[in-house]
Amino acid sequence: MHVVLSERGGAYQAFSDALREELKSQDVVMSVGESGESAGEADLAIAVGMKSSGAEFAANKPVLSVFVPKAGYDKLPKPAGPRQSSAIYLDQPIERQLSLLLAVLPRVNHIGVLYTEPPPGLSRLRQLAVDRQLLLHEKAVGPERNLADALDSVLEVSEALLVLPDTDIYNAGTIRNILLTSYRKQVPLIGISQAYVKAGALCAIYSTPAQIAAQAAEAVRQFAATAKLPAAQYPKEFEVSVNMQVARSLDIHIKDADKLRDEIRRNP
Amino acid sequence: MRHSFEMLKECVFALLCGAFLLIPITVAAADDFLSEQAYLQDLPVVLSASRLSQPLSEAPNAMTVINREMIKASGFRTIAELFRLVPGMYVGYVGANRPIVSLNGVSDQYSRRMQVLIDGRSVYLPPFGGVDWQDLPVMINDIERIEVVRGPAAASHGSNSFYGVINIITRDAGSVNAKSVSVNRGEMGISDVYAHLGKAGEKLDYRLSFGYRADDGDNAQVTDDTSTNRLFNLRTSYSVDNENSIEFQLGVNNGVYGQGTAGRPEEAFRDIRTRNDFQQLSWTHLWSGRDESKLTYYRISRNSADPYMCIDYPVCNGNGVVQPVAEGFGLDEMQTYRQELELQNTTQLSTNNRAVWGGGIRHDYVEQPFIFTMPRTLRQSRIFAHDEWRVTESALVNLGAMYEDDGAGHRSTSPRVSMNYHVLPQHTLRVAVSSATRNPVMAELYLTTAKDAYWRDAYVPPAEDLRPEKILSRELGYIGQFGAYSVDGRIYHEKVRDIIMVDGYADISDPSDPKFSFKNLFDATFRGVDLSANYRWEDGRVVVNYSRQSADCAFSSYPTQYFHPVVGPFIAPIYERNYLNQCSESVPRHSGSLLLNQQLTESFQFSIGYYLRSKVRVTDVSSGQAPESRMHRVDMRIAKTIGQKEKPGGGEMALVLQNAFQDNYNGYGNVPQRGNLLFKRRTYLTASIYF
Repeated sequence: MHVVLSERGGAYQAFSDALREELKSQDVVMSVGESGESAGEADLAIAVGMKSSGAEFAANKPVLSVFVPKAGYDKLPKPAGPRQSSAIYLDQPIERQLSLLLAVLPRVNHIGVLYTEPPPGLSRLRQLAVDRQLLLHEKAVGPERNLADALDSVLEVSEALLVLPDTDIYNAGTIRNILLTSYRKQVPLIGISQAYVKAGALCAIYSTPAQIAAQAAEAVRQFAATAKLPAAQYPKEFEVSVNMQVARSLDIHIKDADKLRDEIRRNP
Repeated sequence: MRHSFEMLKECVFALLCGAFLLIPITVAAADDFLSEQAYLQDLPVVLSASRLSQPLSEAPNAMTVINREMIKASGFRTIAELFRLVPGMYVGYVGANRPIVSLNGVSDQYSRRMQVLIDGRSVYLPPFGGVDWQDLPVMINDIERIEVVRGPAAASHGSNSFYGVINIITRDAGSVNAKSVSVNRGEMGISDVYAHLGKAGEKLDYRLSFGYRADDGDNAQVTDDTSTNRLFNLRTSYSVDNENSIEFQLGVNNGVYGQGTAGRPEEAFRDIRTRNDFQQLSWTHLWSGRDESKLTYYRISRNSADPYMCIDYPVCNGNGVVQPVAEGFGLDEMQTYRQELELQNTTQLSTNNRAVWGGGIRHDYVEQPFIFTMPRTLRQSRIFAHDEWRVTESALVNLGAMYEDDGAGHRSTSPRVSMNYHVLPQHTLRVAVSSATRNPVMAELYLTTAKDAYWRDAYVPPAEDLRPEKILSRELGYIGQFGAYSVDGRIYHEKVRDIIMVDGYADISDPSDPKFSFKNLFDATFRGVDLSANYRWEDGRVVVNYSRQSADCAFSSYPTQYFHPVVGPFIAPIYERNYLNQCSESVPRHSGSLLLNQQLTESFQFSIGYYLRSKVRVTDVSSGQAPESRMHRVDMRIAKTIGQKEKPGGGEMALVLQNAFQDNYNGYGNVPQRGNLLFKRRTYLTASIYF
């Protein structure tokens, strides 16, 4: 069994280190290379990230994509023919995100979201909001409405701001004003990674590179045994992170992160 | 005209500054929203420890927060008035243009036993250690919130945090994202204009404010208490990178204040001109983890010129038959400034333990030839450390102290310890013991005046060294939440030692020219109960405060001539009558407020404020004068909003009615002419537009 892996440092490196560790006792040869330059011997390519996935699909090999958001993976042109491709998504199902929000802020009714373009999961989110008797306040940021105005009008009516993955809205340059404005209005932010929590979001739900690596290792083992990849799937394991200082300052009585994670595991 | 020219200069400067700030910043190209970047990107720490305010249930002292919503609903147009919303706080006026704000009793018109901070800048000023509220270079519209700590808090808020701390936090540079103009017009000659503009950028934020505030005072026939202020304020912040940010602020307030009392020739009607300004620069650095350091430098200065100060009482009163009266008056100029450099560090010792520590050096300067023989300076230094330790999930202990050297030979340590125990997540008990020191101010240390020159009697610096005043406060508090209700109450006992007061006849070596001085004369005990309740509903809110206070005083040392065989029998009753017996009158037994705010329709908003205070006599209102009568005052505000709130095209019109039911009450008066002046009903209109 030979696995080839594209890697670019940071979280990507953390993933490949964890995967190597997971597969240590198996009869698997792992090699790391740049996207697309797959070693001829390899049986399976593990593409880390969207860019690598695109490149690996061009090569003649089964591909397991990791670190890809579902929406991105779905849009990738899949390899033609009988070659297999599958994925372990990087994002959490929207249900899980909403479960966190409700576990942390059970009394909240008004949820705000911002996007530049309606994301593919929006209709699902709208449906879930209806099911759970939440009012969703959406604002699109674009040529007619700049971020500051959209943010103000959403915060005016929302009790929590749910982050949707959109780097045009949430990035290192904009996060300062977003967090400061929402804090001034005492509206907590529910993030999508630990970085958000460190920056000042109330909490976030996410999977660590190690958790994704464990799931990927399982897929590799399955592939080694059956020559088949499991279907594309969301991460099974996840973490919750909470910014206690922000919670206290907003006077939100919050359970600790592990308790919240276990609660969401039990009632997904 | 001279002033409008100065204002123009400042505007030009501001515009240049503004233009510089408007230079566009290149925006980093963002990734496709389908990529994994949204999940993997690194973000800077924004809500660092110093940005986060403490919830009431975790604060080591009793605290009241006044936010923008309350400021607006109250209809008040000056900052000093806002303190009516704080339980137990006294707001009085020596004339409409000279507010007095104090907590606890045994205070005079130079209320000087509080720390007053604006964005961390200490603004109580020498020589008297009080705050010229009307003169502050900050506009009420620029205030984000005010936190009032009721009780000593030197460990966390620095020098002079004696009776309490007023901590004014202005709006962030990035919080104003529009241009607006607002106007107030009304009775009493109220005529205010404000303009605000600002922009939040990716790295650079700024806001600019221009203000003109004027009124004709209360009782133009009896007192000249007109005021005109021209204000400018700039706040800008720049985030250099993820770890470093810099903030710069400056402000100026040029004031013209009427002064004088009819029927008192020595208090002629005239205009006093003042100029207050400040510059403040701070640098915040985030260390890895959650630690943070903040280095702040600021300079504040105040100049005033009284063109017609009486410097020879007999002549001013027309008794000096041979001289023209005008020769009894002179130009009284005062210049004071303060510079301070402070370093504050926040260190996360463990997940349950956080320390705030640091130090500062301060330089105070005052020059006023009429009352000081030479310019005076004080170099004060202090270090502080304050630890917040979460002993268990429900018990929080705050432990801290400040050590200071006032530069005049006094060194002191002011410790504080408190425990907040969350009996249930929504119910907290607080036990606190806190102390503070008030060092003598320059006036108390160095005043020197001759007979009839500034006051009737001559003043000499104290013969024996003044000891700093000390306060020890013990309190038991409860903070509870019941759904939409929240309640905050406490009982307290405060013991103050060595209160510095005027020692009349300190030196009678020349019986025809007795000299007064300052001396540590009294100990006082304050006891009381404060209660605050808050209720919110879908489209409204009500805040209720009540405070019951009492004060007792005793001599800590006797006035110099108290036992003098000749003068003693004359002096002793004055001290007993005017100070000891009246000590209990120096706090209002009952005081309270209620502020209710209700959204009537989509665009109409109504608020009503009720302010209650029983009779009170500030210490320098002697027994011969009337105390301030009971106050029952109702203010109302009705507003109509147009368009979107605080957005271009939006605006608001409001009518404010103060003392709506004409329960006229008399205010502070230390001379007969002022004692009977009534606060009558007044109305004003306000309009604002955003574009």
